[in-house]
Amino acid sequence: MAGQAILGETVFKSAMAMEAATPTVETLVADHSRMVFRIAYSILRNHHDAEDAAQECFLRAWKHKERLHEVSNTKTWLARIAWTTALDKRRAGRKMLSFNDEESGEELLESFSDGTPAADEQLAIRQRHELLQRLIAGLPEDLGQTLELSTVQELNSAEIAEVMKIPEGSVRTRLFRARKQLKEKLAVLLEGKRHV
Amino acid sequence: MSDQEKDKQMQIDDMLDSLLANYSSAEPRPGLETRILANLRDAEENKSPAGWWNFKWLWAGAVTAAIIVAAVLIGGRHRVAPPTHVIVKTSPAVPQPEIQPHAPAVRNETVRIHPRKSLAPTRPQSAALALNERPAVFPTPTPLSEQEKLLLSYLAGTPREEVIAQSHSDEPPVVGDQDQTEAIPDLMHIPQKLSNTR
Repeated sequence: MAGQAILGETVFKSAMAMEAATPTVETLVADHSRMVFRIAYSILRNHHDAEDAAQECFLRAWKHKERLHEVSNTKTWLARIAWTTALDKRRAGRKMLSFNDEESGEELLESFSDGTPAADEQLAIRQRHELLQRLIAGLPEDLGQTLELSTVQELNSAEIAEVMKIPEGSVRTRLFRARKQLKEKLAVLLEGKRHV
Repeated sequence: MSDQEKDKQMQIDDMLDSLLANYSSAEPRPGLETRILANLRDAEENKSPAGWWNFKWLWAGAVTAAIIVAAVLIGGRHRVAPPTHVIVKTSPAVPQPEIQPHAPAVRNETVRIHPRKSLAPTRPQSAALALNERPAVFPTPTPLSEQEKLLLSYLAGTPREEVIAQSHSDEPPVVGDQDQTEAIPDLMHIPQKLSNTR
């Protein structure tokens, strides 16, 4: 009899703990909306589209709210939803710029000069982002996607691996290869600038 | 690798790091959480009525379909079978009514029954009902023919005795001697012993 009471109390406590540990959609929004937005922004490169993707991401999560207690890592689960949502959105509508316009790339490199006026700093930052966006768009898809996720500060290599469903070693390899290719392209751009 | 190349590589590394560092550092517009939560509340509010609405229409459609199927089945069973190609003759065993002088001649009736479109079994009652339809007055009164009218006018204008006389033949039947003898039985040849009058 006493054993049954102890067992019942243990089950009740574990159930209460599970209920307390199970996050709600509201807590997910409060904890991870910023990360979700940044993942979407790293892919879509547009504030409006990134916010739309974030809204859709949480809607998708809300549709599975009954099974939230089954999710072991809600952060990476939500990051994966955000990543796939943004990729779907990019495939559906937006055409990424390709890095074929060498002249335009050289113009953007001008913004790296040391004498950039402070008034033009915002414009320079935007131009740098456009340059990197074009460079990443020229990478193979697997390398580009891994690199885009790595730019989100909230995600480390292990979490990127969980989001992309690949081993962590593959993430590191892809990042190394992506950086190598980007450096080669930047070197070409810098050489061209020096020759001009 | 020369120092110049090392410097160049380091410059490119720094450039790439600075590019990547700020690549996804964008901040969402203020109130993103509020907008997301409001969107989720809208979705939750719109979900139940829409679900109930669809459920209700589903049930309405199912009930309507069931009613239509039931009506078709019941209607098919109770439909009166149209005539078929079967030719039904009046049975000779049925006693014929007495033929009146001015009654129409009774003849064998043939009823042609048209083919029916459905494959439902034929109902012989319908054909029997069609045959049993008889007029209220039997025999059916029909106008007199010319000969009948002449006969009636003759009877009306002729004395009764003459009519009776006209009904007999003018020549009485001729009966010969031989016929008379044959008509009278030969009583003489009756054996006496058979007589029981004694």
